Amino acid sequence: MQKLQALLFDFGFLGTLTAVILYLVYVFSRREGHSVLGHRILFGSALLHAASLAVGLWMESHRPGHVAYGFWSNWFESLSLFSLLIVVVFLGVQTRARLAILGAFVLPWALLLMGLALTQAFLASPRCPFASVEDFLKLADTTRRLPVLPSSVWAAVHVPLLFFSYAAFANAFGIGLAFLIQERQLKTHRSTDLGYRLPSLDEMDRMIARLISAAFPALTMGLGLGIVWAHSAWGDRWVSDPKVLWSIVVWAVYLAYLVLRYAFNWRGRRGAYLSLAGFAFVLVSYMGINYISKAHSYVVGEKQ
Amino acid sequence: MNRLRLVGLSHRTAPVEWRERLAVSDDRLPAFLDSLRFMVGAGEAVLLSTCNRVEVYAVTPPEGEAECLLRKSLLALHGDVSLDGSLYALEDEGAIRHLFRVAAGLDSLVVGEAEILGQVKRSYDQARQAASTGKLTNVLFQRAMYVGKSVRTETKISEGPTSVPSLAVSLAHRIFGELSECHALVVGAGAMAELAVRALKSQKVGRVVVANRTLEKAVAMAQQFGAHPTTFDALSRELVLADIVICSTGAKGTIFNRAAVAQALEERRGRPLFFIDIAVPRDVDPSVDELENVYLYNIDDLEGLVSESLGRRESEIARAGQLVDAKANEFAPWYDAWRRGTTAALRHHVRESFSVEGDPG
Repeated sequence: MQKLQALLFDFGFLGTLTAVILYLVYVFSRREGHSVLGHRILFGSALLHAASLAVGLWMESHRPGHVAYGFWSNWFESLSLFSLLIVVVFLGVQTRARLAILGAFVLPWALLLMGLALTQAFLASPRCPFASVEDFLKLADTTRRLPVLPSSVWAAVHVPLLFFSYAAFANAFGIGLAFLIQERQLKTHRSTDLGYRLPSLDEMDRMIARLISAAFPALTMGLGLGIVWAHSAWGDRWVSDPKVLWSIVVWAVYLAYLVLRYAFNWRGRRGAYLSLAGFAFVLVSYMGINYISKAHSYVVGEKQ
Repeated sequence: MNRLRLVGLSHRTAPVEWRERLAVSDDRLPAFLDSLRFMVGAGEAVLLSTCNRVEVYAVTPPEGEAECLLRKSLLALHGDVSLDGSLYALEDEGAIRHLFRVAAGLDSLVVGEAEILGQVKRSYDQARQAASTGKLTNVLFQRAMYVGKSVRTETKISEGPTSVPSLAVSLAHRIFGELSECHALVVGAGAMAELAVRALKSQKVGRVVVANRTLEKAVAMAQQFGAHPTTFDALSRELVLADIVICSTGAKGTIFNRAAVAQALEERRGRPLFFIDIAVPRDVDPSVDELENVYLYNIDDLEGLVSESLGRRESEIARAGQLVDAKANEFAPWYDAWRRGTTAALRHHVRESFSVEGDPG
């Protein structure tokens, strides 16, 4: 089964890689064919990637001594879920607005995270990265950390909710980059080919706002569930967890974005910078804090 | 063995007064094509007539006098033989290559312009309706249209705006996207402003307001544009509502200073404001450009961008020319086979996803 999970992930990765290359080529080739093909391959890869996660979940739920929160307790599965959700949110964005060119700004981040997942597997068992995914999953299975917290159904929702919001923030980040390029060119009266092909400022501004508005309730709920859950298990100890604290900072940054955007009309460049800053905080929370938060650290191979 | 001949003149060889003398109106076209058959013995003929060129493509007997007869028929359109010196004549591969270059926009006044492709198609359709096309012209003109399309998709020859009005429209699109919900405010009435408004109107821009010092003048202009008239007293209010402001007054001082624009921005709730200042001296204080969410372009900015965009097109001419040459060479074996009365295979694939970016107006 681990072999299947690894294989599905590997093919998903190769497909996503191909799709990202096609989206990047499209920026220069301007041929619709490239973006259409890229979109199809991306969709197919997302299905493989999702299947890989589903297999992992299925195995987890059939393990003796199964706990609902056992999954996503290692870097590989966490990165895998995060990157898949970025792709899924982008596919959603693309159905609403046929703006394939944004793929070049959003999808490389998903690919990067998938690459990091492979790197994690490689670090844990340094063979060829593709083959080592399987080894890693075996290893992770034997060392799977028992959750620090008692499990519950709500707890199982905590992680996917947060990752959905992170994925939407990642999309907003990519679109924010494109926005700033377009804005800069218009403001300085200099235009390149790219400027003439990027979506309008207005469209991108609204897309960023919509993504953040959709993600914020998920972030709030995910965070709230985590806190309620931790509070019921630890009492007040959750307050001292660095990840929880940092996540509250992330929450505050996006809350500030929404308030400034909708109540104080912070449209345009300042809003885009804020969405970029927000995602930087997300990355710190996601990548950095796990090393110092006991409750949120992931199993890595060396720890066996 | 019949051969393809081309005789014509274009903006490269003749001024517009001469070109217009040769223009053939639609109703006279069938008779003209018919006359070629009798006078020149042309089995097939297509007349490509635009404001920049008049060219006859004809399948004629091989003898040299056919060219002479073609020239004569063309000149007979106006009965003026003094134009003969500005006519050019090409045959066989030369004529094929020329048609491909024309279709690709390489021979146009504005390199890569999209209109010529439609004009080639129209000329061909008209000739076909007049039953003056045949095996060669059918294949050749279909081919020319395919070459015209693929050169435009594979090079940047028809990319980017080529005039100030079309640039203004494309900048507006880059700021606002769809223009149907945008309001335009026109202050003063210059010729360029009128062109810009027409270009915006063709993009279905929402409400257009025309402002002038006196209401009478504003009303007169508004009628011309299909717009709402107003006076300068209402400018501060209109600035809050407008998205695109086109200024071209003859005023000595500025019409919009920084403080006025900053105040309007407060009330605009963060919506961007696009100023097109084509007045000399300028109507909008240059420091307005420093304000957030304001995009101010004066006439120098606009002309600079247009010439930059034209320059980008020019830089693609060599590559586009190579592509045309390759397509012409690809066509040569088919043409030779046609002349020998046999057939050869012709590779043909037309890219489906294709769009021409045209100059509005």
